[in-house]
Amino acid sequence: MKKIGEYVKWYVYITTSILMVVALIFGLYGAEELPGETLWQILVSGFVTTLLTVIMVYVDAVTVAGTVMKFIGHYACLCTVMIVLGGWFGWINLNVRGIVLMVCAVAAVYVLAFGAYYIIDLRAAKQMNQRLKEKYGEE
Amino acid sequence: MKITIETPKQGEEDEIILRCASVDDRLLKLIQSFRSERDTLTGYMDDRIQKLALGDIFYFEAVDNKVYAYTAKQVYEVHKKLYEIGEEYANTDFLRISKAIVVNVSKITYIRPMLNGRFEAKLKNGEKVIISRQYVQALKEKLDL
Repeated sequence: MKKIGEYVKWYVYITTSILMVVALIFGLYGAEELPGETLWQILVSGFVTTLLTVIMVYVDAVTVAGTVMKFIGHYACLCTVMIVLGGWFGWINLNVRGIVLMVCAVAAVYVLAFGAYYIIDLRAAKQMNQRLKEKYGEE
Repeated sequence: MKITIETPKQGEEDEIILRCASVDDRLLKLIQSFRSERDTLTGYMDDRIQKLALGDIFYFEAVDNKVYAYTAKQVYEVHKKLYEIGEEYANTDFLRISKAIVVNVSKITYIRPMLNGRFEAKLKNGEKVIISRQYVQALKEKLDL
């Protein structure tokens, strides 16, 4: 049940971030209309990348090097999946330029989604610290 | 709830009397908390055997199938499994925060999130321990959040 809850949270953050990046790209490249199927494609890519995230991010790495490797591996997997999906959906051409564009887009989604998650965590930590102070502060 | 504190007569032992209609969870936790302060467990360091007051232990850590108890400055081996400690002291301030650590929540100074999705707790002796994401909810519950 907890895992499903985590999945839903990540799905919301990641899909919203993808939507924002797609909106930015459409804005920059001057497209006037967002094709209807693109919305479904965003939902599908959000579903797949969330699955990867929930599987990979919660693997406990003991050392700092292990943690760095975990995140590099996670990012590499996301890029691979999104390049395949991007090519399939017709979002990018499978050439160097298209792949670089997708790698940058994944980086932007990564920063947005993890940034949002970090802000939520900051709030949770603040609440816990407040309770710690109330409960044990006088000791 | 009315709280009355009386000074015992000379020579009398300190005593806590709880007068209540029923013993609820909150009261049980309170009793357990008082008891845990006086509870002891045996710690082993080199050739020394020492009684450790539960309230002096900052955290327990499992390393290579051995479990260690960390006090403010010393580390003792304890002959118990980490899951046993987690279960035995579930109603005290001790809480499992990762696969390898059971922490005394009352010894936490502050908690901060990390970029890798986990949290870090700084203890009153300056040490830092990692809180795995899957145990954060249990910590929140322990803190009545």
